[in-house]
Amino acid sequence: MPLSEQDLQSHVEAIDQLRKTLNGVLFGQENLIELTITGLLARGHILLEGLPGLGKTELVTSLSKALQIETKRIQFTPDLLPGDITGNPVLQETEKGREFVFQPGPLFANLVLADEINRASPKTQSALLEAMQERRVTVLGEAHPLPNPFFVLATQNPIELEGTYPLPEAQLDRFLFKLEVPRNNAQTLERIVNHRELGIEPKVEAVMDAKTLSDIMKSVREIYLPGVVANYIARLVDGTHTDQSEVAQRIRFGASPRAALSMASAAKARALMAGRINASFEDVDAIAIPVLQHRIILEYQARIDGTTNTLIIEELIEEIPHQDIDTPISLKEK
Amino acid sequence: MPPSERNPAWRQIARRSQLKINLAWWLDRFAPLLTISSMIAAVLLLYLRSQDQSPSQNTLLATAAGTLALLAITAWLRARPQFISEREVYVQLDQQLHLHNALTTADHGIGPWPALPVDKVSNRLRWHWPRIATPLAISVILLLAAWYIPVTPQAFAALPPASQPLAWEQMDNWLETLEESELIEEPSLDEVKEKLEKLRAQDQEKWFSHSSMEASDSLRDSLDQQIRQLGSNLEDTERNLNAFQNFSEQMTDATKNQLLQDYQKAMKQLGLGQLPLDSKLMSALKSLDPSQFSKLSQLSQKQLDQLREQLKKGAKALKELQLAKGGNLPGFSDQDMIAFLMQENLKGPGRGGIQRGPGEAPITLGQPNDLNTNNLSAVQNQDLSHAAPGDIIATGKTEHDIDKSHQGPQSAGAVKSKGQGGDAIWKDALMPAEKELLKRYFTKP
Repeated sequence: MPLSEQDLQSHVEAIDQLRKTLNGVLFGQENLIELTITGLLARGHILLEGLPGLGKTELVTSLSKALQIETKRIQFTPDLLPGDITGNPVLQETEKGREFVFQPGPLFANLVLADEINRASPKTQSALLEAMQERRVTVLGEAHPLPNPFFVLATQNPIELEGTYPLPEAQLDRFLFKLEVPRNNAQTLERIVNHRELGIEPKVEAVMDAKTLSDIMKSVREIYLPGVVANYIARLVDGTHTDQSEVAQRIRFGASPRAALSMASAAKARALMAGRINASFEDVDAIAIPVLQHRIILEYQARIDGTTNTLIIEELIEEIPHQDIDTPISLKEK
Repeated sequence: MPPSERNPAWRQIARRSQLKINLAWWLDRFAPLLTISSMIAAVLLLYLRSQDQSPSQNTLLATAAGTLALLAITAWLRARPQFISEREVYVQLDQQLHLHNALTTADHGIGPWPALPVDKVSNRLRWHWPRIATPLAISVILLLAAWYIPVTPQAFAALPPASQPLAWEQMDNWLETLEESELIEEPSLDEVKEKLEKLRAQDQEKWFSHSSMEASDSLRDSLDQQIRQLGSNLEDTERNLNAFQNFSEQMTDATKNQLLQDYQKAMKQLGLGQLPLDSKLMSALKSLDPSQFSKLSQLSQKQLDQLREQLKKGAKALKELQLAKGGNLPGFSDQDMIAFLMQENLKGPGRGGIQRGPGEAPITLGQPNDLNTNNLSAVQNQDLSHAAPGDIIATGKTEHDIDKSHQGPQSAGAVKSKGQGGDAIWKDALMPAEKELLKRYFTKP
């Protein structure tokens, strides 16, 4: 039975409440909060990139409190080993004698904050990769499923790149969104100074529990994706590849099919947040930049020219029409 | 509007848009077909009119209607793949009205039909009238031009030009006068006519060629000479007859003999030549004996008067022909001709008038050493339709592309000219491997 707008009413209210709560904690980051909620509802992992002190960690902790889900934070360092995040087998005395018992690591939580993910070695990053993609951890040949829901919100710092291990493209592709945390303007800073005290954590009200979140995520899957919108997503992703669009001349490697799936999922989540039972072109346009910007690699010449991934995606959205049909020359736009 | 009535209302709006867009597609395909067909029709119409076979108005209308119907069907068949469906119109309406694909969803039976906007839904696309009207206007103009533009049927165009060599016109006039006078034997005149027609039968382009003009002049001069001779003989004959008739009694025998000899000589000449006298007249004259005129036993005075009158008339007619043989153009008097020839700007080679020019040949009166052969000038052939293969269109001064760089004897393998800049580096400094690498790099697609 298809969803109705009435069915979504309670979900929309809960999401509004969550949005309101997060906006009350993190000032001036409405768009970041909106996209973070969208990413969560789309069951995606999010990579936050920004300078220190902009509220990345605070966003995650506030989110965990508001959602009442188990949260763990991992500070990634170069000496961090895969076992440190996945968990290790520990030799224990049991009734059957001595045997290895798996001790779950910090990945076993609903929401994992992977702080400064690019400081860990590729080996550790790879362990996180499996967990993010398959939502399970394999230790000594034994698979341990991760709790549901499971989200990774990773952060990385665009400065102090010495001694870091840039995330490989394959791992970047596993993040649904890459969000850039913008700097606050003077008005926002004034508001922060007036309402916050250093060292004192703000009080965050719980607005929903894990079950409600799970119900909402289930509803996201039921959101209707019209064929024309799916076609638009396909053409957008295809347009990032060589010779498929004008913009693609400045792109070295385009987005993967996972990007298309991510766009569809994120568009559905956004539609639900707006209380609609169907995703639309506007939803796709709104999430295109966070979904695609970390999935394309620019040509050297484009980088030298100062083009950014964001600009390229914006141009792509302008170039690819929503509907793939021509207009007769006997007619013109008003 | 209640939700149950929204569906038909949206459908009506969608169908209206669909019809407009599909009609535009049809017009897009129809317009070029119409323009091309109009061009072909215009050419065809002009051709038919030039052949003096203008179709009747009914035929024209029926053909036009049939062609239009055929074009319309062809345009429809070609435009059909581009026709937009009602479902696609919903997508467009979603975009136009910012409905977040609600209409598309409703059309798939997933969600409810959205409420109709308060304002009337106008299509985001409007007609591009200049684009639509231009091919139609071109077609109409072409067809109207082809129908109304004055065209000379080819039958008239094929007539020989009004202008023909003057000598022919003169000979025509003379022959006509000779025919009317009935003085000359018909076969003789036919012979001259035949020669004239032979000249006319050649290509019009050759009428004024040098050889044709020479032949025409020669024929005319010959005819002129014979007419002159005939006139003179007729005059002599008439004069002799007059003398015998009226003054024979006062003449001495010696005078009579002299006149008789003159008469017989004239009679003899009248029977000879290319223009012999008419046989009836000739036999009548031969039957006369001038020495017996005074006795009037053979012919009455009246009959003799008539014969003389006929000879006199013939001689007069021929004399008039002689006077008119100057050949001035009709409406162009001698005074006009003199004034024309005296014009200052007509001096120079080849501008002399009808017969021969007053101008001088450049070789005789120009600089003795300057034969005008050193100047190269472009030949302008403005009427290229008559240009034959091999005709010179233009000449000019050009120079052969010769490598003037000095190439003296050099040892095997040595390069004498190293060139400059990158060329010198290429020849002197680079190793073969480096050259190969650079070649590959710069020729890489």
